[in-house]
Order: sequence, then structure tokens, then C-alpha cells
Amino acid sequence: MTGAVKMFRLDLLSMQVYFKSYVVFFLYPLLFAWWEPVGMAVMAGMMLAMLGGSIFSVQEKNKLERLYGMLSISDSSLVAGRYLFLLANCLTVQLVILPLHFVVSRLIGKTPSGSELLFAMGLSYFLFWLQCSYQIPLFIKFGYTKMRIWATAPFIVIALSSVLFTYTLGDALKARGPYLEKAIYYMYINPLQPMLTLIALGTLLGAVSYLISIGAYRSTKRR
Amino acid sequence: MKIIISNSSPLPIYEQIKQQVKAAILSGELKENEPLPSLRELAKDLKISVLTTMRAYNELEQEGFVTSIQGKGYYVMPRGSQLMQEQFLREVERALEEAVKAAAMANISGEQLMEMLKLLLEVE
Amino acid sequence: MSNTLLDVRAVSKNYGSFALRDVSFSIPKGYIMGLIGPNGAGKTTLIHLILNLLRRDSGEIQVFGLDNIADDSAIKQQVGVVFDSVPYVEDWKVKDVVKAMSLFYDSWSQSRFLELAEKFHLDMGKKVKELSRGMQTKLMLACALAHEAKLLILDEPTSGMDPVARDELMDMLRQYIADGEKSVLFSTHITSDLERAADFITYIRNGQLFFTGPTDELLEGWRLLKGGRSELTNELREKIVGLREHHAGFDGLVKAKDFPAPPDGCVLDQASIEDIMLYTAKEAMPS
Repeated sequence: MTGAVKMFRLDLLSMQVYFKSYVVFFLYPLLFAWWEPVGMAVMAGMMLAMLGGSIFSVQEKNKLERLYGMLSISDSSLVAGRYLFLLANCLTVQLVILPLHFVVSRLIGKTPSGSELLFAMGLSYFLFWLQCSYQIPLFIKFGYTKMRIWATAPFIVIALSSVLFTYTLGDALKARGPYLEKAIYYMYINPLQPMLTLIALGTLLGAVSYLISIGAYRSTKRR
Repeated sequence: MKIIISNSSPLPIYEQIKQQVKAAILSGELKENEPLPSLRELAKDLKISVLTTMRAYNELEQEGFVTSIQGKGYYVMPRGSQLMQEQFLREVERALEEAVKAAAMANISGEQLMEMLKLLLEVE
Repeated sequence: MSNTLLDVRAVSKNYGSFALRDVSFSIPKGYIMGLIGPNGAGKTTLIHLILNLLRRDSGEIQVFGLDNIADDSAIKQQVGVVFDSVPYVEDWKVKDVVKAMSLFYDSWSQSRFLELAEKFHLDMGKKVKELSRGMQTKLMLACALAHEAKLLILDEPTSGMDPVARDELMDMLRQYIADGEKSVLFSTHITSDLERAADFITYIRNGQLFFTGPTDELLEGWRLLKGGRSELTNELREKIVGLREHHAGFDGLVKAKDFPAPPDGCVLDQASIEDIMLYTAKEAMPS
């Protein structure tokens, strides 16, 4: 077992006490069943971002840095394990919540298409990395308590604006020109390319963030 | 073998150990070539530090009472060994010096002292 | 591998309002070293530096002959740590702690842990936060001993322990070094634990090394001098550390080599480790 996997399992163990409360999140698909998958993806993305901080919160509350410091694991493996854990959180949402939402939507009579679902999954993956790439190095460097407001605030803003975008600016964009409308339409009927692009972009963001995080973790020891 | 450390003794612990080991050798309780308890065993049993037992054993070795064999431990030297004899001689000399000094303080003459010594030897 | 298990050389660390300066000491294998000093003197910082939880500013630290930063992972496989408070998730049960620890140690022995858990009366189903301070320390100790650690580092393990538990701990430490291959470093305030058990003492004051060496050397290097006010000449004053003057006379710490015999009218006593710490704390010592 490599170091990263060991760290991943350790994070799992650290959070398992709190997993019971995660059940709540499985209700979200039911609450938002009347939304399109894309909307659900945005919602899920926000959820994930706010959850992401909790492992750091547990770490700070229990002063687990001493445990990590005492164990035989390299800095890069330790950080990698943390990223793995957060990614696993993300994948759980994507592979469970979004399809669940899709099914429930259909049940209540809405008609989301399979391609919308695919696109939504790509989008939520991207949004996840968009937020985590930004949050994780900050949490590592400054700790959870100091950063929790800074880490989530920008995304609440984005979430609200994207809701607004959908309802108000959407029409303004339509007026802007047929090309944009065509592009958006195109995305819906052929989701594979944008989805893959989103996945690639997200992963890239994650990789860059990982490298920054290693530096951030090392700098905490210089204190 | 019996070794008892007393906290109220003015003697440092390593000195107490030395004395008791020497006494055991003298009385024959510890026989020639018999192994002493290992340094660490003794430290554990008496609840003292290893360096303390080490010091006691090292000094006993220097004074000729025991010898150490690499990898095996410490063994009692034969009583006739020269170093041991020298040690004992020195102790006897010291004790006699004390007696002479005490006699001088009490105004006891040399002859009286000799008499006392003869009497004591007869008792032995 | 040489005989030195831990080698700290000229280590310095600037830490805000506090600094550790040029500290050096080493522990050969098979011995117990006590780390003493007043609160805030740098004992915990030193331990964190050895464990690479903090980065040193200068100097070298070698554990098992390896650099503690470059070979961090290899070293940690063989080091057992007992902190002054549990580094675990407080909601974990003892069995969760075991799961976490055993993940990272190649030489983890579950049977050895269970043996120790039974000896310590550790309940596998109890949560960490439900354990008493003494039991928490025992949990850390059981974890530290369950993998083949050659160096055991303890930071104030006995504070909060009753005398029986302390005695048991000291016995365990003696047992631990009995094969002559492993060593212990432990920092403590309770100097009486050290007088009989510690082979070596390192005394840190104000971030600087005051003494390091065999316990006997420390104890034989100092004496307590007590006398009446009239015996306190200026010459004497200069030689006394932590001088205390009161109605019935004076007392203070002196170097044993300065005083092979007590001056007239005075008394020379053995100084305990605690005495040495108390009197040297009262004064800024010339370095």
C-alpha cells in the first residue's frame, strides 16, 4: 500500500464518525428533483466544497498534525492521500447523487436527457476541483478555523450568481447572438466533448493545487 | 546473591553495591568464577540506572574483585588473585591506621595497642 | 551502525519570542536519558525538532545514524512516541486507534498490542475522550511498544499519573532498554523519577544547554551549602548560585569542586536534581 492510500484510509477513519450525518445529502436529489441535472450539479458542487473543509476541521480540533508527524509517511504522500480522500468524496456524489437525482426527476415526470446527466457530471467534477484547488492549500497553510469563511464565501457568491445567470442573463445572452445559443444547444446534444474538457481542466487544476499544497504543508513546519 | 540499597545511607548507590559484592566474595557466598547478575538485570531488579551498576562493576573490576568477559558478563576473580589481595591489604592498612590514630588520641601506648590486637586475633 | 541512537548537534531554532540555541547532546543505545528544564525552556520544542514536526534553523539531528529530515520515513518506522496529550481523534475508540496506527507500521504486532492492552486494562471499545489521562498515556505507550521501536520518546508522560502508575512506567522503561539495543528519551518535571532510573540527564534552561551527561556527574558536580549569616563572606557569595538569605542563615548551590570540605560553621549536603534545578533557576547563569 503506498503512502497516499494509507493516508486516504486514515482520513476515512477520521471522518467515519461523522459519515452518519452525510446521509442528509442523499435527500438533496429529492428536494431538487424539479431542477435540471445541471442545476443539481452546481448544487452538488457547492455542497462538496463546504464538506471538503470538514476533514480539516476534524484535523484541527484533534491536533492530528502530531499524529501525521509521528507516522512514517512522506509529505507528498500525505498531501496526496488527502486529495484522494476529497476526490473520493466528490466521486461519491457524482456517481450516486447525480444519477439518483436523474432517476427521481424522471419519476416525477421531468425529462432530463442522458446527455444532460453526463454534462452535469462533468460540470460537477470541474466545479469540485475549481473549489478544492483553491481551498485545500489555504486550509493546509492557515488551518480550518481561520480559512473557513474565506474558503466558502467566494463559492456562495458563484452559486448565487449562476442561479441568477440561468434565469436572467440567459435571455440576455440569447439576444446576444445565435452563435452562443448554438454553442449552448450544441453542448446539450453532444456532451462528450465539453464533458471531457471539463474533466481535463478540473484534473489539471487539481494537479497544480496538489503541488502548491505540498509546499504549503512543508511551510507549516518551518513555523 | 543479596544486594540491598539503602536510601538513608550516606554512601552513593554504586558504593553500596561494591561493598556488598566485596563482602559476598569475602564471605565465600560468591564463589570463584561465579557470574554476577548482568548489568541490566541488576539495574532492573534494584530499580536503578544502568550506568550506576556499570560504575560499580567497573570499579570492582579495577580493584581486582571481578573480571569482565566480552559478551558474557562479569565473573568473580579467584580469592588468591593479586589485585584482590592488594585491595584487602590496603583496607587492613587503613583500618590499622585508624586504630593507631584513635589510640594516640586516647593516649594508649603502642604496647597496649599490640596487646589489644593479640587478644582480638585469638578470638578470631 | 554506531552506538549512538540519537545525536543532536548544535541545533538552534528561533520560534517567535523564544529561541533554542546551540543545543547538543546524544544518547548511546541501551540507555535512558531524562530531559529536564523549567516550563517554556524548550524541552517540547526540542522533541518536536527531533521528530521533524518543526524545522530546525541550524545544526544536525541524527537518529540511528540517519538524518532526521532526509530519512524521516525510515526513522519513523522505528521510533515510538508518547506525547503529553493524545494525538488521536477523540471520538475514536481504542480499536480505531489501533487500526490507524497499524496502517503505518510495517512491524506492527497486533498480539503484542493486545498483550499490553490487557496489562494496562485498556478497553478496546472505549472512546479516547472517555479515557482518563493516565489511561490515555498508557494507550500511547501500548501503541509505541507494539511496533519494533528502537527509540522511545516521551514528552511529560507522568504528569497526571498516580505514583503506582509512575512506578510501573519506570519499570517498563527499564525493561525496554534491558536488551541494550534500545534507548529512551523522556522529558519530565518529576525529577525524582529520574534520579534512580535515568542514566543520562540533559538540562535545558532558557533555550540553552545547561548540562548533559551521566546523572551521577550532575549529582556529584553540585552541593548544597548552608550556613549562618556571619559565615557569608563576599568571596563565598560569588561562588554561590541561587543564594537564599533568611533569618536563620543562608543556603545556596555550589560547585562541588570549589568545596571539597565545608567552610567553618557551614554544612555541605548532597544536592538532588530538583535542588539543582531550583537554585539554578533563580539565577541567570554565565554560559
